[in-house]
Amino acid sequence: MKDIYELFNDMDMDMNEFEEVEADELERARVKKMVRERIAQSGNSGGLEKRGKSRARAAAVAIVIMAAGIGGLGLAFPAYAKEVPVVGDIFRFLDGGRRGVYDLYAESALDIDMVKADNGIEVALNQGVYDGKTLVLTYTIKTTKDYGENPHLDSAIEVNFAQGTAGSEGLKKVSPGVYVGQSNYTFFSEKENRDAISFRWSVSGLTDMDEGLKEEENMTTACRLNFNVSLKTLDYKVLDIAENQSIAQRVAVSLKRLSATPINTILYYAEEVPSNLVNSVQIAWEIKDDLGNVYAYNENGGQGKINGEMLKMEYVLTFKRLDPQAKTLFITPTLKLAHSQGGGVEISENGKETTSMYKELPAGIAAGEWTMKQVTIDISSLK
Amino acid sequence: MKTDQNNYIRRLKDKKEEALEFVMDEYFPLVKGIVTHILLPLERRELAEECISDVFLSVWLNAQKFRGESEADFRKWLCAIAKYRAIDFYRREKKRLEIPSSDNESMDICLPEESAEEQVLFKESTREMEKMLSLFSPTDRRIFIMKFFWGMPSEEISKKLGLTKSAVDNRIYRGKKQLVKGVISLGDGGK
Repeated sequence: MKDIYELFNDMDMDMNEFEEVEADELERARVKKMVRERIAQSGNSGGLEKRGKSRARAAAVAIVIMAAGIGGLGLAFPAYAKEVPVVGDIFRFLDGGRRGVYDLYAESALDIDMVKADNGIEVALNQGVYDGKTLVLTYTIKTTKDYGENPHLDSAIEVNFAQGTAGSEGLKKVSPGVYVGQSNYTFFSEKENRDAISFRWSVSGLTDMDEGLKEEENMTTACRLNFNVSLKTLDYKVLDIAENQSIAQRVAVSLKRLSATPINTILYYAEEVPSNLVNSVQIAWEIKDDLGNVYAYNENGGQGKINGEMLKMEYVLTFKRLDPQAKTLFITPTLKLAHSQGGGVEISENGKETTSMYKELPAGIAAGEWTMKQVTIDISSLK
Repeated sequence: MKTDQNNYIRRLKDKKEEALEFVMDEYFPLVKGIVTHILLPLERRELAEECISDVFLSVWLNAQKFRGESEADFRKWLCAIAKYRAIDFYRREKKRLEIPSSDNESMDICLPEESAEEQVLFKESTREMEKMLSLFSPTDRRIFIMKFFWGMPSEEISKKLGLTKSAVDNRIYRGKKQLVKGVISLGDGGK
């Protein structure tokens, strides 16, 4: 979908129609100052105004569930650490090479290679991949003091089109004072942003999270590092999935569509959950093809609205690129009702964030697992 | 690296602030010319300055959407934005002040044949309109941009495109009908 600024590219202009009008220095200075102030207000990457408007439009409460951290920080790093500077393929390094979700990312990732330092923390933003829904960044951090095995990086992403962002982060020590990390951000907006992405990634601190430290020892070291980056989106093909809905225990799941990029596949699905079960529902997925490949996946969060007694959410999950030989994909969701652990952040219309802790199952509801209907998808058109 | 004549477009897309600085220095008189010409009837200097800043801000925020290569392309794109922002400012201000319709034909921005509701509808649905525009035929698209984003009278549009005025009005009428009724659904294409 082209917006007006893109359409302007195609407009013929009769340049004789315009006349230049000279301006004095004072006038130029006033205008420039105004522009700079407004850029600063809009957070540089722009669109603050826009975001305000979309917030106001969004009905009810949008809930953004933070996906769990990037799983499986394996111990396989020596194999990869040798490759290039610190770690060659950070994607695989952090995945431990085990699940394979990120095996192809480094091939298509764009080198960003921006290095910034502040207050004894040097961050190199190495690579980025944007698949049209999720932005994945890798970075290397070098510090003057040690931050333990699994430090936490305070970072934030800003884009001008998203109403909600779900994110996850993984950070791993390579050697004393050297860490590599990966952050995933999934953007939710009315209008998908599929051509390119401009974002501002800011790092505001690093914290040693090791247990057994005294409170004053795991103080956050603050820093101010901002990266403004634009990336092209990967090529993609979209396949709409025929109407399907499966219901178990009043929880409805329907698969919407697949988007295939050279490195991964994105599954969009919708979930409707009675509000009393919101905190107890988990969906596990079995994704396999007609050749027997089983695909590991990453959940990338979702966005939705409370509609009467139901919470309607739209989620995305990402798995590895489909086997080019495969013709059919079989996807089976399994509903789990459980005493879940963890929490989420609820963001209301006015931007107020409330941390909600998960509670136990409501009275009269038993824990259990229900395998839902298998959905068969002809993927030959994705070739 | 320094921003200069040869690299400012690329650097602007890369969000280099000094490239914007360069653009503002280079194109200030041109943008001022377009903006003041359109806002002239309002006789408000500070509004014109605000609008000029808005033009450069829009250029900054949308730089990635500029597709051309040459300086001439960029100049045209910038003029298109300047015209669009200036008309937008003019309409907003006029609405605010409730200035009675001017006699000046060249400022024929509120179409006489348009009802107030329709105007509101167009205002509200700029976003919708943008979506629709990409489905219109190239000629219809040009007409709509000239009419509604640049506030040009049908007469002038017809001269530009070598069509009769009634052909232009017709196309606008049909397009508006599609737009108002939402006949074109994004799914089934249109043109």
